[in-house]
Amino acid sequence: MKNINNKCETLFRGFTSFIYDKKYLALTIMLAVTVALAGQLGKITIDTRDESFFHEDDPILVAYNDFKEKFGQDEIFIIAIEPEQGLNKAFFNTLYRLHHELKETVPYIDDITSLVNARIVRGEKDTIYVEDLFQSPPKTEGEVGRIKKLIDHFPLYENFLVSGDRSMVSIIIKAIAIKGAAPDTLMEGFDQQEALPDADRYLGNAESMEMTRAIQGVIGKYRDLGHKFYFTGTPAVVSALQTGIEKDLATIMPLSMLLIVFFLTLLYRRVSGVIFPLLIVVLSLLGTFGFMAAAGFPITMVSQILPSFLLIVGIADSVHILTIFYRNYETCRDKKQAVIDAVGLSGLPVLMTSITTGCGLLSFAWADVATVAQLGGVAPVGVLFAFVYSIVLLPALIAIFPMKQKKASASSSNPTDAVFIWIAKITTQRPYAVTLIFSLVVVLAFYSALSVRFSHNISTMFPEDSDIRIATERLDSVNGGSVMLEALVDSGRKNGLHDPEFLARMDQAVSAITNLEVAGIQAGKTWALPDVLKETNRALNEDQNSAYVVPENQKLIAQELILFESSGSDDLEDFTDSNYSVGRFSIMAPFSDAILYADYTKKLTQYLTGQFPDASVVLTGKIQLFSKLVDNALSTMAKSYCFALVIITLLMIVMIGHVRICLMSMVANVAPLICILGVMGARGINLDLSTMLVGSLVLGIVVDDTIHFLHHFKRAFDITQDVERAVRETLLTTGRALFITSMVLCGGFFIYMVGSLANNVRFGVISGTAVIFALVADFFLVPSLLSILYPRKIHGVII
Amino acid sequence: MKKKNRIKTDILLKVRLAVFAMILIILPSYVFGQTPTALEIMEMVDDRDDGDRAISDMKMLLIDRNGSRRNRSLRTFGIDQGDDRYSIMFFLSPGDIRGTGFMSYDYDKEGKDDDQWLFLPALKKVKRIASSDKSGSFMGSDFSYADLTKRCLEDYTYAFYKKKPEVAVYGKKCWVIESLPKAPSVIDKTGYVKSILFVRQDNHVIVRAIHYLEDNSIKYYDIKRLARVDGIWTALEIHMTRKKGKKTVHQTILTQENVAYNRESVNASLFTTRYLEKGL
Repeated sequence: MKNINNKCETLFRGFTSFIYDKKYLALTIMLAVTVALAGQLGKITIDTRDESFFHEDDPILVAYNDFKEKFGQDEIFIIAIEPEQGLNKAFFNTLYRLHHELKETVPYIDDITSLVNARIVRGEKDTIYVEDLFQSPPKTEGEVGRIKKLIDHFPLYENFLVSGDRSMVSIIIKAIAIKGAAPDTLMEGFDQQEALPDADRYLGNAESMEMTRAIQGVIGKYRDLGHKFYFTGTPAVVSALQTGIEKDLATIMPLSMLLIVFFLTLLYRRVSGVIFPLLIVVLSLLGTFGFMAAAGFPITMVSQILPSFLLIVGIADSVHILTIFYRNYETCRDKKQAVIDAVGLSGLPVLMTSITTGCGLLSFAWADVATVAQLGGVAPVGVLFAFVYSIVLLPALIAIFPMKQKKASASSSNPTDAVFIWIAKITTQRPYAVTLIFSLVVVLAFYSALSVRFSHNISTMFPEDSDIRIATERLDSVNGGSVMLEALVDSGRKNGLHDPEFLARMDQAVSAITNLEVAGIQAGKTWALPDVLKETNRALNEDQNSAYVVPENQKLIAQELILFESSGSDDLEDFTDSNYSVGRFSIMAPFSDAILYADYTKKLTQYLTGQFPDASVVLTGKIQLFSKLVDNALSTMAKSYCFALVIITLLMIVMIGHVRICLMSMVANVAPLICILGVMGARGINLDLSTMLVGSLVLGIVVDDTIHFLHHFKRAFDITQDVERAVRETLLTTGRALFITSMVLCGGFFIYMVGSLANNVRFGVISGTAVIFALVADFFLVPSLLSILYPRKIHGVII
Repeated sequence: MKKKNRIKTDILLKVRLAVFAMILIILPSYVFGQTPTALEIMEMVDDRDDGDRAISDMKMLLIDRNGSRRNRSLRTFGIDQGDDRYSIMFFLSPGDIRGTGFMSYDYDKEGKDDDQWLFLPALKKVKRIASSDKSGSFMGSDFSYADLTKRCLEDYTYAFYKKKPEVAVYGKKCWVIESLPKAPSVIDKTGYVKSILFVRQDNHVIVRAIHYLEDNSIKYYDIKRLARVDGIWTALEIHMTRKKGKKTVHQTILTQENVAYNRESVNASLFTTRYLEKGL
């Protein structure tokens, strides 16, 4: 082992010497690589769609996309208006103008529906009227009265286009599901040959943002009229999330930079000590994001943590090398020799720590949550870039720029020394007591951690006073929801939905689904084919309410459906497929926690399977995506935690070379993670898509501290052959550096607390606290365990 | 006598001048080998004899985006009543909807909504359908009522398609004309925000059309089989394909068989609610 260490040291020394001599070439190459990668940055996209959480071949996403291919878009933008003085003439006029302005202004619209163009099928004597609710704005009170009467006559629009208490009216905008470039030539469209499926043919963030801006622009013009406006719906939430991410990145990034500048200034009090590391991390960040863009990875709700995370992790590489360089430079006064010695000495631990951090992140690469897997693909590259940039650029920059020589500071006793000496004393003299206390805390934390659950509720990620959250909560309370769930019941036969008995069961199901309440979730609105059939049947029977039923005659059903298809409506796909074999239930439910959705969809599937034993039932839509996200997140956590634990332990064994010591150090590293989960359990904080990353991510970082600790302990123990002295030496040297880097990390994570999105805040708090716990474990538990293991087992043996 | 002759000469001169002016102004320039204007072409399309007292068996094959197919067959009758067009049709298959009848009076008069009636045999009732909207699907197909009725020339502006004013379609030279609705109400009625029409130069039949819809989809109208029946150019097979971008959303293949014109049996008595109720 010692041999390998020496070989590595020689390699790093030779490499640094080469770089120092070819400084301009090294700088040019690195800058050229950075420019080439940064040139890709223009391609980077943001993806906050709920679909982004799923791999392309995930059966849930396949089913969802299949649904969109067959039935079109399920997501809707909702513009809800609370009229200042109820549904009167002035309001209907405003609604009419707003509806038409939206229709003309907003891009990518597939369909816009409101009371203005609500399809009315009604019968009067021998005539059936198929018309929009109002062709033109009402001019008289009589017309207003007629419109209100018609609204009451069509229950299909209640809690959708108008609230049950008539206090709120909604305009529903459905975007096109699949974007398509227009044919290249005039005649190309006549070709029967289908275009090959395009991976990004579904509407993405950019289009949602474009629509959101256009809608908000139009609404803005009407706000002065005294009506209250609310704007929500899942695509609006996706846009708000992107805005939130952009806002948070714009706040967190500069603050992370400031924090780094502050710590570097405090640490080195040199211009080069601030500029060099900062330049290196910024360049490596540009390189990483350039790679991310080139590889087609978007910025997501998960990977948004990456910029500031890489900043604080990347800076540590430079800090370890620079600290030793400055110390050497002050004593030997030879810049080249000082940097060769510094990289020679710290190159291997920096490489080792980069590998462990990288592996912690790599553990996400096989995640079932696609956004987490993308993080696992990009972040290790970022860590690797930070390492390469550090060991290449740092010697080159030191070689190029002149540097003042400071007098070697006389070692003076530091007030913190007493603390480190006390820690060394207590942990080596009372190792069992310290270990016992830790064990008790870990056991208690483990018990508390058992109550931690997974939770994912996008709507609660926004601040309580944000427009999107207010709108979503208002819609949920007034109309009973704004998120869609789609249930497809496949009769398995052509024209299966012409069967009166099957349709009667569907009609029962509409009521049953609306009344189904599971875990506090109840649909505000459910609609299906029987609803339009009942309307048509009533219209054909002179509008008698007694005829608001599904016909019992198969032929009549088929003929009424012909009327529905021919009555100026393209809405067939809103209810069934073209063969009338699949019935579609559209269910609008409130925003809720994904884990509760999982319970709800489970019960709903049970009900539908029981109600339609002769048909196959498939659930899809946004709510189904959310509920399946829970399973994927849990399997992701299990896989990534196991991978990180196993691979990092193996790496530690390879790096440190002693199984028992490594296992001991892993115990010391896992303990803080259990403690943080325990704190989450005690405080009622659930794991979400960001905080679930903390385990593997923090494990990858905190083992770095242990590597540095053990590395220096081993050297000190080789010289002193005394555990207490070796611990004291380690704490007084490496301990101080660990304290500083942990403070940088901790500060870096706590900066996330200024974010506007709740998941960023939670991630910051949890990760920052985990780093503190890890430092405490490194200072107390590691020396105690070393004291227990060393004298008995390997006293005097060089590990 | 001389005076009489002079008057006669004057009249003749005036007539000659008038004829000359007519030649210059009225006679389309294509007489001299020049292209008529887009409006003139559309007037020729409108003036084309499209047959009267017609009878045919229509088959509609509906193909959805997943390739699922549905067949519907109908027997149709049509008659010209002055400038108005009456038509009546009955479903022959599938069985569940056999006998379902549909009748429409398509009025030429601007602003007058068409009259439509539906007969559902299972209900045994004829119902008048009041709707000014012609943009909806015709019997679940990709054809709208607007596609099946004559367009009102005055509702649109016409211009040659700038990029390519002439193309060959199935080996026949066609003019390419872009038509734009003059008023939003026309768009509301037909659903089309723009159309590009391919008019065959030899017989003035619109053999292809591209209709741009409000929901960003595009409909491609394509006559695959065109033949003279009783001296009248008749589309025997039309494909109407609705696409979004380059992807087909739905397609209807409409074929006509047993087409005949000027049948004595097709008379005004057929186009009544009584006959609609009586059925075939």
